[in-house]
Amino acid sequence: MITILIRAAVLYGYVLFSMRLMGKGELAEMQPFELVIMIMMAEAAALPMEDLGVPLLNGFIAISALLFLQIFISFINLKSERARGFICGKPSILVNKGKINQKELNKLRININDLIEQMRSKDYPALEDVEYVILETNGDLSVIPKENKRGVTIEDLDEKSNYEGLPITLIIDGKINHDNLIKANITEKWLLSRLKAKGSKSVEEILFCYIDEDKELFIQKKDK
Amino acid sequence: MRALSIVILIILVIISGWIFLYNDITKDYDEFITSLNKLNKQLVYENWDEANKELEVLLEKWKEHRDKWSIFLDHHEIDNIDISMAKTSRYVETKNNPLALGEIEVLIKLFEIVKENEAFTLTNIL
Repeated sequence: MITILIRAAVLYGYVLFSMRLMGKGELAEMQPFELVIMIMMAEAAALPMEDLGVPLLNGFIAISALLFLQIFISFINLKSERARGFICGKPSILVNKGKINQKELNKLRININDLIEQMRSKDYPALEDVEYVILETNGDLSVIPKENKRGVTIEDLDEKSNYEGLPITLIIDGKINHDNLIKANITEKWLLSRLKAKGSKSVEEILFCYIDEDKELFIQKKDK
Repeated sequence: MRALSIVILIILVIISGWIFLYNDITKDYDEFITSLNKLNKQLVYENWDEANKELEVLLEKWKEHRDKWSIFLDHHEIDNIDISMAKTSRYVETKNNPLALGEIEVLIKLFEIVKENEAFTLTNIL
């Protein structure tokens, strides 16, 4: 039993390392070849974990081979348009200029109910509101509405908006993030004086604090 | 590019590791087969003292290699060799010639299987 425990921990570490090496893209929507790699990697890790007759090294080698294939195929995808078309496929236009592309639906074996259901989940219940519906290579559905059904933007209103920038976290759970102080271009002394002015006696009593583009602090204290 | 370099390095380590391992297993296999053939010869002529000495050499050699092989090879194959070694040892001890000779043939076959399983052949891939 202890052997399985140790094997599971070691394999977990290696699979985690592999996932980190594959990159963040792997954790979101998956392309077909990425899905295959994920399924096979799970199996490659599970087998030596459960069967003590299989050397642990076999699991490492199988995972390494899959890792190599995944990164190599991603690299080819990045460099070659033709390879990308072959490996990932091409997006399919299901609704073209407001008209359902029946041929494409038949080819993909998607019925009208599925299409309407997916459109509803994207907040477009009526076909007349939609200009294009595209089934992306990762299986996600993109809906592009007709011009008169698009949301109003600030640009449409001829208004000007202020630049909001990115809020920078300064304190988490009573600890100051010194790297972020440098990024926000402020000193610890300045931060402490501002905290005092806002009624906080010490950094330790703050749960979360960030600064916005206008150098305004947001503070939330810990529950007592 | 960094990730690609790392995986290429890992694959190169695996391939070179396999080349080294396969050469090592082939060398060990030759030694075991030579030793088993010698034991076989002694048993055919029923030289029990010589056979016992040869068996001791064989068991000692197996003890040396067993743990190293367990890291790379299927543990079931290692267990099968362990069982067959124990049987051979008992048959030689009790001077049971036919069974000892039969078990030596089993051992030769088991070592052959281990070597074949590690070889880069089409049958192994398929």
